[in-house]
Amino acid sequence: MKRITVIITEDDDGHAELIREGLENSGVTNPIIRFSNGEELWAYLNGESRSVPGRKPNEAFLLLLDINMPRMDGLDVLKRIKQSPDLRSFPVIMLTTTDDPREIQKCYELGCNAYVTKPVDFSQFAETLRRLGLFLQIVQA
Amino acid sequence: MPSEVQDIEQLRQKIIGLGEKSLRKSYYPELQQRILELEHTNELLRTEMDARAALDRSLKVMHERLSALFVSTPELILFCEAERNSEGILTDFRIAESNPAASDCFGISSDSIKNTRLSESPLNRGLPHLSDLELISRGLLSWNGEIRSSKKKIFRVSIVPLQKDQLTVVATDITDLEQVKEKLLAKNKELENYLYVASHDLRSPLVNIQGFSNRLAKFTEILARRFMQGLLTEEESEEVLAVLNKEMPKALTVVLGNVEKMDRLISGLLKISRTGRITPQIRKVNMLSLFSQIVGEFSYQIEQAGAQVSQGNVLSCYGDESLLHQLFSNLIGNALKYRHPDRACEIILESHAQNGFVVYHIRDNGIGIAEKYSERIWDVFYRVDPSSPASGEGLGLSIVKRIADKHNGRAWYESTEGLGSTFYVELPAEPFDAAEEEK
Repeated sequence: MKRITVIITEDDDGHAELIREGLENSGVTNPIIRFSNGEELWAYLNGESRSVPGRKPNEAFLLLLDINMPRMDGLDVLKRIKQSPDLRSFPVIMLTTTDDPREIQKCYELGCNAYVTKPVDFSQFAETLRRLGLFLQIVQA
Repeated sequence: MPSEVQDIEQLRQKIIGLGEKSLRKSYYPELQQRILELEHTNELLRTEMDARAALDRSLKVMHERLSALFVSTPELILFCEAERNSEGILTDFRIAESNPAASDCFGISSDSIKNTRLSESPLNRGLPHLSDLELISRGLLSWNGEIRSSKKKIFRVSIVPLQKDQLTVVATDITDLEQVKEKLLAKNKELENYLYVASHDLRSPLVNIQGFSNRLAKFTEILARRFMQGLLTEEESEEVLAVLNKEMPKALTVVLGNVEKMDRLISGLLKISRTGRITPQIRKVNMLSLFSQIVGEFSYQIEQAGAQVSQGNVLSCYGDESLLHQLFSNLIGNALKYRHPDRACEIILESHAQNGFVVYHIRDNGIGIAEKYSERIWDVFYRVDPSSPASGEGLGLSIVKRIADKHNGRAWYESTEGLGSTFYVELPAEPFDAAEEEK
């Protein structure tokens, strides 16, 4: 089975660390990379990142995206990913502090696969992964 | 002589006692009957006359009431009559009579309004189609709608039938109402934005405080367990030391850092809300000297940046001096903060007069503002790049907007990314009553 890389894109260091910890505690042993904003993630996905070696062809990703980020926010990068024939198949889970229904609707309209509010309840998060058919590829408890 | 006329002549002679002699007495009851009938008719006529007089009186009262209404109502009333061409085909409606409210509103006398075609009147934009107007004049339809006149006035209009080929147009000037509505909508949007900030920006540090406090709880569990255990292996002591010296202090730093961040956010919200609550003291403000004062206060930053600040034509305006001091300090501060690293910073302060207002320009040659941020930069706490060392609390521009609002003014900008920005602030050139809606 293909090993999926988890990418956390989150501008808040504390949040990023808590998400990583939560994933690890729920049994995720997949490689985890973190970016601080949409611009960095976009550059990485397009092989234009200066700091991180580019992705390998056929490498699969699970993207965890914050919404409010500087430079390029989560909505903007989500839109680009879902419009790119190359990237659109990667599942995207929005992770954000707002539960504003309009925001949630907007994310689903742009094609996100799931929307989770922070603080993340990782027992439910496993359920989200199961729903997306990713459970076996991600959680190896 | 026709028989009918003969009969009447005979009857007349009978009544007055002529004709067949000495028969007068025998006709007397007939005469009496006739007199009674006449008296009854007379009575009926009198009652009817009284009723007419009463009706006349009430009609007069009604007319007086209607005239008073027509003359004094703030609603515009236009009585219109159909205009037909020689073939009898309806071509338009002409205003036959209009009330003083209409003259006041249109700024022309009722004589000048008279005979104006409806299609050429100030209410011509958005009127129903002529065929619909015809249906109304035939009593088959009535119409309600909103009409925006060429003079930027907004009317709520009803058109109802009167008599055949006639219409009544009743219009309410709702321009002021609409303006208040727009203001309310803007305020509402601002409030929504505040709520959004409260829900997102304030929650964000809480997520950290909660998460890292949970971690601290886990660490205390580990420590308690090891403590109860007594003797520790080397590996276990290393774990205890790592928790005590590294993990716990780190978690505490995150918790305290986020508490501080929340405190800053809450202070910021309070600062904004205070700016909103102050009742401005409106006086004439000499902006030339206010600008000089602000530039003086920034002298250190100006020197550090090697910036050139120059003043052109700076007109005076009316406003609250300390609020305007804050407004322009924020803008000049921004111009210095967001200067371009590759060229000497230049800031030009100027103004021009426009429709009872003075528009101030703060022009810089700094980094400019990308188009995609244009909608958000006025939002409270919004920062284009929070990681930049120049980045503040995200309050400056939202305070600028609030202060301009309080002066019935406006603030906006034009910018080209990489070349610089010009911020404009429009303030009253004449004394005014400051809005006190937020007391």
